[in-house]
Amino acid sequence: MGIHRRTRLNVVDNSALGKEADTTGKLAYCINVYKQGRRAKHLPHAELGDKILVAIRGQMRKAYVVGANTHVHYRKHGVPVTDNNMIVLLDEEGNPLGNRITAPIPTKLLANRGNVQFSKVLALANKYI
Amino acid sequence: MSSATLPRIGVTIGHVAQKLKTGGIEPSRRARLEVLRRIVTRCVREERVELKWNRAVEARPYLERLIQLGVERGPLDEYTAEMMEWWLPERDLIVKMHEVIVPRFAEIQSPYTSLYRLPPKRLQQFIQNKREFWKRYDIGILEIDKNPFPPVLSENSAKNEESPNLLNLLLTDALKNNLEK
Amino acid sequence: MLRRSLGSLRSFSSKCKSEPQTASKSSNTIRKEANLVGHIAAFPEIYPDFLQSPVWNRRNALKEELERRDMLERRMNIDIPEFYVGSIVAVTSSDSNLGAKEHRFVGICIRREKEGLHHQFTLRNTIEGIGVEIMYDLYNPTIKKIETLKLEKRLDSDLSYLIDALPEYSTFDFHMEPLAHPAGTPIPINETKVKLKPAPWTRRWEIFGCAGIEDSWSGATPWFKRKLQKTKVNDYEKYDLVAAYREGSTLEHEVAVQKQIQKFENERHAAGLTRRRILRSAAAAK
Repeated sequence: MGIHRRTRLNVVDNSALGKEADTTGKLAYCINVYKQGRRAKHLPHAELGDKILVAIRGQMRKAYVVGANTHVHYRKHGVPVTDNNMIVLLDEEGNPLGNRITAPIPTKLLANRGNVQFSKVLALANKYI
Repeated sequence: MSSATLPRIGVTIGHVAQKLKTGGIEPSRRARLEVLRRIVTRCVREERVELKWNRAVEARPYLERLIQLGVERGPLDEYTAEMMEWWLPERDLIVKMHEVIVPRFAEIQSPYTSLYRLPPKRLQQFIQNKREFWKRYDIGILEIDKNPFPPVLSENSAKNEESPNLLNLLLTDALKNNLEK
Repeated sequence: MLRRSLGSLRSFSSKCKSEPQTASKSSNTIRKEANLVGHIAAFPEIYPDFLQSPVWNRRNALKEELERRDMLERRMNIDIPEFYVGSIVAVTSSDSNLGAKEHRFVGICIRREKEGLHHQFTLRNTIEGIGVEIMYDLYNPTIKKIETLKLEKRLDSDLSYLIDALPEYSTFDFHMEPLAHPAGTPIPINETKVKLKPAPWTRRWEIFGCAGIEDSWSGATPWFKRKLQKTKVNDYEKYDLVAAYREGSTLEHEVAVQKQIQKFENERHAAGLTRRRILRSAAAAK
């Protein structure tokens, strides 16, 4: 249980693309989940900190999941769960599209500091839950 | 009489609720509760009831719990009043419960009821191709303790049960001697 | 034949299983025992983790005993205060990712689940307009401190509907000062009736009958209102006394647990290491 194909997500950085998507009401739409493990004809589900491919305003963008609405049965101790699913968009090279993240981020994501791409996203965050 | 937790029901309760045959109606959880409700009502009114064994076994803990609610919480408790109202739909039985039955057990612990076994009834159902089909029903007696009727197992019945067999006489004497030690 | 002759020995021997199950004539000792121990009437509400599993077949005396010992040890090391669903709680846990190595979260307790060492509680708060819920294991060793900032109860024992309520009902100040509860006074019940956001909701609140929601029926969409005719409404389940007994707690168990806690406390106090008290009730007079 988590974020999968067809899930709609709110964009939480200050990129123009994200703001347009949120204001018009046509939210970002998950198409692919970059994660290991596949059941026959099934994609794995994305959780906090996973990378997904998202369709937004006619374009396809990669994004990192920064807040997930996990079901009650799958929650873990100390991991914050938000009411909306939130993502941060990345451009073609893998750098974050916006230059600030508006929403607070769970501190669990700071464990991924080693990952080069993710550390660029973490550098933009200024509030932690 | 606070709303503290109730004590144990001192009766063997199965870990699974038995499904009871519900006469003409579609069997369901609601129908089962209705069957049990009628048994409990009949038992509170008549204080000793003869019925099918499996139904007696199922109904006994409900009757125990109802009496226990009256004993531990009293008639003024909200929960007790709601349960009594549903389980005893005849108003006079609620009065009887609180004024006659509950005071018997003010200082006594559960179980407040007894369950005895009678020989099974065998009733012929039908004859098909000269072959008789019979059905067997296990019968039990469910009674609330300290009722005005004579006891089911009288004191004399024990004496009548004594076996005249020599081996049994010797064994029972030996047991008695051992226990007395 | 031997069985029948044993009937004459009824007065000597204990109950043989082939004997009929008769009513007991013995006196009620459990109430006297409860009074002797000083049994707290609200025990299932204050210590829901010390109760037995609601699934009858999962009740295992050995497992419960072992878990209870670990739970009491933990309670001697850290102060786990009394809180209910609806109280505002602050939890400080250790977090290696942060500079200060500490993570503090304040929120209203919306549910408390599971028995024994696995007991969990969820705190909810709204941060910058986004509702956040964090689930904590009560006995997790990474929790450094739990404080009850405001001790109160609500009309329900499960406040999951706050997800679909207006954000003002879930917003609590992180730097709130703790409000001391005067000992001996009963726990205040907060009777707020929450207004829900416009439908659709995450669950069908109009069916649940939560006392803390203000008029959920008129907020439900016509589709759900029509669906109610086909929904199986199980109002009669509350009258099933034995099902409630199988899920619930007994006075014997609570008294035994309370005795065990008192014995444990006395042993530790006598050893002189701590003066921490585990067994306490804010509503009971000191």
